[in-house]
Amino acid sequence: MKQKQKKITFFSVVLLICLIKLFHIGYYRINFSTNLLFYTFKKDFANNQAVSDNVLEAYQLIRKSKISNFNLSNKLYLNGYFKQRIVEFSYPIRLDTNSQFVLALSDSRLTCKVKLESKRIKLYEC
Amino acid sequence: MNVKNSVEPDWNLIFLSFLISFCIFLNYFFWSVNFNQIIKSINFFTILFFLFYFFIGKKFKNYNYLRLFIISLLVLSLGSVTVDWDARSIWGFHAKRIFLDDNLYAGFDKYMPELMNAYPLLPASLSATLAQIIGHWNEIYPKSTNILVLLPALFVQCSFLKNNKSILLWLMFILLFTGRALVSGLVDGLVAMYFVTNCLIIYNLFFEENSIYGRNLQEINKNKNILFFLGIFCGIILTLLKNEGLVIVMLLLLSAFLFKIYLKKKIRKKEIIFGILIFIPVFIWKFLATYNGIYAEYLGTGIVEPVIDLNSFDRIILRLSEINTHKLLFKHLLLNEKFIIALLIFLFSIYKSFEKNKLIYSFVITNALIYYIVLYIVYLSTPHDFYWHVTSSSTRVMPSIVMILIFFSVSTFMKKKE
Repeated sequence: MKQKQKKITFFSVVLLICLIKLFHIGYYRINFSTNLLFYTFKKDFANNQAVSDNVLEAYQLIRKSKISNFNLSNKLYLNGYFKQRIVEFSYPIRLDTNSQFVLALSDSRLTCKVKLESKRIKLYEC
Repeated sequence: MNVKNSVEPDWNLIFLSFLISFCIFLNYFFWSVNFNQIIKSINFFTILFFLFYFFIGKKFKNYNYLRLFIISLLVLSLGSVTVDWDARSIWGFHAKRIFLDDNLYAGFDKYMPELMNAYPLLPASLSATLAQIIGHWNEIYPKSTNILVLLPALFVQCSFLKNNKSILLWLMFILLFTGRALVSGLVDGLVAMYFVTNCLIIYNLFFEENSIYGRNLQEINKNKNILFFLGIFCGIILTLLKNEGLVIVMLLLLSAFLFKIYLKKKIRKKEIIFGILIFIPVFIWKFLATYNGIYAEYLGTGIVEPVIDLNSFDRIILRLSEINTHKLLFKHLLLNEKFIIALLIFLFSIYKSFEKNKLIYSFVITNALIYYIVLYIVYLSTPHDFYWHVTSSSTRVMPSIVMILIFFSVSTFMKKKE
């Protein structure tokens, strides 16, 4: 009887720890959401959660303009986060330092023609 | 035979693990020779079928905790966006490239060399297969295939644990120490889990004499062969996960052969073949990468001050002489809270059951220690900023040592209690 009680206590405690840890990982470490789970295979779902607004806007400009490559202004090129994310997010459209299409922040001034613009980003054709 | 000290794993689970590991390898192989999409899809559905069989098969009715664990990981992975830096920029990006270019060797075009084009791509190739089945890419589901890659390792570990109590305890430790890494799209959790599994299999193949392989000769031969081939596939998977995996397999085999020599045991031909077969796929990958001019960053010269233009050896020498280097490494590799907990559990377990498990403890300690030294050397030779590299990656690499210490503590201690 004592053995059985010990066993029940053991399983209860360990299961409780597992449960707490699962909730901890889900809600505090990886931002789990049931909404994401239900739409897990939907195209372009939760893009806004995966990257920042800047990257998302830049990606939309690139897609809208139907170009095959792009370059970044000096400021954006030196922004490690932006560069990394736009490269992976926009693939198969590639970052090419020789491209005539340049992405820049909307407050920057480039001596090129503005092809498309959004709230935060401008796409120039040089 | 000393029945009390005998090891009888669940051969049904081992066999299932072998089948899944084989399919995971096949998926990589199909990509590497550019097979038809339909064949890759059939192979993927076969893996799902095996998983489904595990959930409904009567043979596995005692693994309810394990079933719940796998479901939980899948739910977490499918219900979260990929945001981790490496998960996105290395693994996710390469999977996307394989999927969109329909080519495992897409990275050989040298586009974005800073995104580790030389890394082997086994987990990314499985994500790419799933993306082909779904038909489009998004930022959520591709990483969930890491849970499928995890299955063989997890099944082997649980099949060697004696009862539900030890399985549940082990699953708890996995959640506590690598849970997040397993669901976030990072490969480091898989490396840690396969380190444990390969150590377990190599120990059993090379040293364990009390294993019960079956009741009759036919069953014994069958199960011995299954463990042998499972060991090969798990080894191949580990070498193709990440460069660390290749180093770990080398260490495991090297220490196994050295132990054999020390114990004056004969090294069998089968063991040498085992060692050779494991390395073939990764050597082919490395050869093709090198042939296409894709090199590991570590082989190049330093890219930041004060190690700019210095080669690996010179970087080590320079940093060895700096006291702050050792202080930082000490802080991140020794005062890591997970490592300290694992070490305490391991020491307790040794204290309780060293006599009966001398060899396995020695094997585990040797491998953990050598891997620790390798990590130390790798950090000293980094071409990147030393502080940045240590602080940003030490929490990802330490779980490999943590998990190996904890698994063998749980398995040997619970065996002793029985």
